[in-house]
Amino acid sequence: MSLQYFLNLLRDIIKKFQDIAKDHIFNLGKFRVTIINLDNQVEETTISMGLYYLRNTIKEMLKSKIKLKDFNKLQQSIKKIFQKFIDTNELINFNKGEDLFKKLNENDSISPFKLLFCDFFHEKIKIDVFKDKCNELKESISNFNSFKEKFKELYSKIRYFETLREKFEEYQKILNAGDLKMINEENLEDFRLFRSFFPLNVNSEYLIDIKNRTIIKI
Amino acid sequence: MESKEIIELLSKKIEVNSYINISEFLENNNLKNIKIKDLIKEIERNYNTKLILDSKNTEVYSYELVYNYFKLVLFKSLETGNDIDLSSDDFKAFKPDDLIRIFSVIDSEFFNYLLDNIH
Repeated sequence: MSLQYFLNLLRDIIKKFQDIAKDHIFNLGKFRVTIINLDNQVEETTISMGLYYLRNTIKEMLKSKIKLKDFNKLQQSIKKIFQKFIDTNELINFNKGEDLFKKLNENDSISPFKLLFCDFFHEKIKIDVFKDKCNELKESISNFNSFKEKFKELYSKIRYFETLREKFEEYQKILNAGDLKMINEENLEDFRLFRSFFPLNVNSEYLIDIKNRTIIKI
Repeated sequence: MESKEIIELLSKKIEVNSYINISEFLENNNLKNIKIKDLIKEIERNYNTKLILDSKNTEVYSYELVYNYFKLVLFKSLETGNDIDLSSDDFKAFKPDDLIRIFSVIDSEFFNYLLDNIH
């Protein structure tokens, strides 16, 4: 899909956002933001005008070859509007708390790690470990080479969880049926991880014999 | 081996590794007499929702790696209040079109996220 497609999509969402903000936020006109126009001039205006400016800038950009230097200014203005909303309790129902980075990473609508916070995994994730991982990533953001190493390590685990989730139901059926022969050698490690997500009182009657690579019913 | 087959193999490696050096990949898989230019064209034309080339066409990144990097840069900038400068050295590894395309996606998602929390 073309750049034009993505910019048009962004423009449509800004329009929707502007309409909803105007309808929902009382006295929206009193909140002001700073925007940067394509001529590099900085201007303070109302949020409504700021959003209108964003849409108009995209429209202008779409008329000719799309340049990074123009998008960079647009992005800086967009970020200022995001910042205004995040920092202003009267605009959104949002308490950013002490650790905004962690709060955003935990949110299942935008987080890159939403899988870690879904249903059955959520209870089993050690929040402190997750927080440390978030901080490690945050520290590495200033250097992409360092970030990509840390991301690779973390993402390989997330991918593994994703694969496991697909098999979750199947393993539960096998466990309920007690037909342990169905867990073959290649699935044993998966099954071990799967089992570790359950409270012990559900599965404590099973042991995994690592040496002989089998599951034993006690 | 055709470009498409090579890219499929490369995609599988990237699913696990998140990024890969193109020359090393070809060498490790004993893929000789391959025109890297043709591979690059094919990736840019038909695989840009999965694979992102670096600005020098030497490495290929998974889309998730780049998308999540940009997203976390935005999260951090919102926490610190600092600006993002896409023309700075921080983003020199990426091509302008990828920066514009992926940031547009992230901005769109973030506007929707704000809508979920609007009064």
